[in-house]
Amino acid sequence: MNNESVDIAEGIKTLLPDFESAAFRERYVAERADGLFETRLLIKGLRCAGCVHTSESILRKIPGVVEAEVNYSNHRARFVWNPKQASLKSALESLQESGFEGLPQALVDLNQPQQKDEAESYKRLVVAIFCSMNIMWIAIAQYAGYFSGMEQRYRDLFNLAGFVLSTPVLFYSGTVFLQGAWQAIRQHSLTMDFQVAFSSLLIYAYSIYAAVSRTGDTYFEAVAMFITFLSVGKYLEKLSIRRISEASSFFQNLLPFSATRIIKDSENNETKTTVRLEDVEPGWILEVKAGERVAADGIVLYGTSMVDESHLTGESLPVQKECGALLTSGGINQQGVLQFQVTKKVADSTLSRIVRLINDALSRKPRTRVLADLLAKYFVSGVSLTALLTFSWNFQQYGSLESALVHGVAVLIIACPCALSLATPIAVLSGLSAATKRKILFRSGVQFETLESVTDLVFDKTGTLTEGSPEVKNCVWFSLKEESAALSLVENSNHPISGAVRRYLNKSGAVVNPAQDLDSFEELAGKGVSMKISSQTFYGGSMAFMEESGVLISAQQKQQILELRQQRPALFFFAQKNDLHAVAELTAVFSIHDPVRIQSRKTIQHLQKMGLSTHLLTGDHPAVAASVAQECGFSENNVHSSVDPEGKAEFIEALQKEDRIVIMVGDGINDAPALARADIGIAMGSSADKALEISDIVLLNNNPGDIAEALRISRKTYSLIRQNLALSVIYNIVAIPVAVAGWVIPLVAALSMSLSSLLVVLNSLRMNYRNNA
Amino acid sequence: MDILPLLIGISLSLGLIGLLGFLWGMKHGMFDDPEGTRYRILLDD
Repeated sequence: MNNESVDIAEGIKTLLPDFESAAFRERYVAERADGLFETRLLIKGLRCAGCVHTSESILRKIPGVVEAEVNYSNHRARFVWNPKQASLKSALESLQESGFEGLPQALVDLNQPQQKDEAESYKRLVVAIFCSMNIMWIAIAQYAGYFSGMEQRYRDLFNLAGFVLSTPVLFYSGTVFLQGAWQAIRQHSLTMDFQVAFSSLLIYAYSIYAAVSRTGDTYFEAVAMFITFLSVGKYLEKLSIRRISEASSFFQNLLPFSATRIIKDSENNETKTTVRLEDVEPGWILEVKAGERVAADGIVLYGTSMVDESHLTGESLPVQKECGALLTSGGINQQGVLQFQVTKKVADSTLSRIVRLINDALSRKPRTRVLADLLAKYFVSGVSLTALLTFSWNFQQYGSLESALVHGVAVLIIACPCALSLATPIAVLSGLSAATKRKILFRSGVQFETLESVTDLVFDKTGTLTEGSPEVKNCVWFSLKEESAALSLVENSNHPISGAVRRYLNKSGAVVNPAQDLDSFEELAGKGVSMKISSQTFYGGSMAFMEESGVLISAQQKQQILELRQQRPALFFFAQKNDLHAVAELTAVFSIHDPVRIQSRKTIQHLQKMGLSTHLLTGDHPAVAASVAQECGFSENNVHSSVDPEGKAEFIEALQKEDRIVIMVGDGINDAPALARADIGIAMGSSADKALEISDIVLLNNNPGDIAEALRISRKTYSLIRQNLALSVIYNIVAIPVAVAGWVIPLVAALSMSLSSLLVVLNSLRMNYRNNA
Repeated sequence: MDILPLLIGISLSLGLIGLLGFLWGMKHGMFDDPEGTRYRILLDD
């Protein structure tokens, strides 16, 4: 059963902010000069090209819509409408009816620097490739001329062409390296960028000298190819950085930007005004309707409802809130209207604290020492030294400045870090594509190197090791099985528990009796549901509801219920009353739990066999935590229950202080601070948007077993990186003597550059990621 | 072989026109939705 469609069909309200409020329009809607409104929408739920076309048509058919175009590649739509005829709210509702969700994108995020950066670097790459390809067909002529002799005027012509074509490559496409070199100089560090820029400029300058003074050979094409190969490497690196969650929507804010304030005057007349979140003060009375997020921490004054507090506890079952109950900011109100008094300023509220925790953790996230960077330092100093030595030795030996220069420059040319720069990006791309094929998304290739040294794994319980949604574990019928009546009862309820009961009954073959007419149906938030069919009344819900409705429970039944309660499940009671008897009787009890995923146990055991420490951290009760821990195979002292979001992050920090490398596996907003703090954060594909946004790895199959797979792929990739780096070092060791001996003519330079890069690419293609174990 | 300078000049100019065309296309967002281009030819409207 597809859980996503169940949610929408059941009508569990998704958040719809107040589209008419100025606060919303300020952030999400652009007002055009011609009076039309424009916004960008991210459309979720598009599974194929047909869906994209359908969503476009839906929007276009709405009267008043001027333009609606959906991008098939990133699912973003440009939406322009006439505010006098159409409204954003109705448009989004039309989309929702067909199963799509339209999320308005904040205007500030539209000119995403990352996208512009990618476009810029792609342009640079194209220019570099264009110039290099053209330079090469000219260079071939030059190589031929080297062996067969060439008239000076043609040599001049080709040199000029080489100069003209290599200049844009060095100074436009090579800007990245030039800037990087400048930074390296300022920071007094020897980076690869410095080596690249220094070598390129020196070779370029020498070639100009050689062309103008008509002595020796020019190496313009070497410079051009050099920069081109390295630009390819950089572009590959950029490609491997993914934006895992592109949902830059109001969900990201976690808090609404406006709230409804209730002001009572002396005659107890209520006035409602919309206030901005930043203005909310303690002591104010706010109202939160069904489907809205609670704006601030407070105490309920009036109303009864169920509130989803999964952002704090991770539990998807909503909690009942009545007069006097505590509300935490960020909770989603499910059904009724609640009026509450604010107890803390928004900036001090629970949710703001969580958001601060997340941002703080992200800024202090430990950075991996990348292998290639470590090698680069030695490489740069080694090559520069060799070039200098060659220059001075040659000068001493032969006395000619020119000859010494040629030999020194030759060392720089041949030692070009093409292979070295391509080593990591190519291996990373190879690993990323293998992972993506298995539906494991990596945020960037750096994680491959971090995963290599992991020591501990910390798991969240709900939604990570367990399915995250309630399921009926077993059911006790005390008398005749009235399955169709029970099914009719839960069919019309939106509560997750009713959903679990419904699925269970459907599976055991129950069907609703169509002949029966419902006389009445009532759902009481937090208690249960009841319905009347002709002379019978049926009740379903909590124990409290049963007692309130006067349901008779025998001592024997009470005993059985006690036994069921051992495992701390949620219990759904089903009772019926035939009007002939005045008393309702208990017909059945459904025991409901959150089932552990099938793959969890094997995964934990596998990870433990690999020598990694595994921990279970959950906000749930100790009894539930213990039973899940036992089922999965965690050792008792590695299980921690009743942990809040802050606690989870602190636990990880404590481990890191012991110099351990920690992976956090979670799925909810309550895991976000821990996910941000850990060396690597892994989220299930069905996680909350915020968790997806800050995670380093996403498991699209929601299978914890993929963690072991991710580790396996990263080990192979890491070894591939090491192999490639080794190959480039070996190549240099072989090639540098060639340069010292003075055999580096332009042809040799070009060949060496290509061969070294080819070597690294071929080695990467050779890598086989299939699981042979 | 006196034609060589002219030939090189013409070849490079032609290539340059192509490159400029590509850059113009990038600037005007022609390459932003490669998937969409594929599917739109199959649509009826």
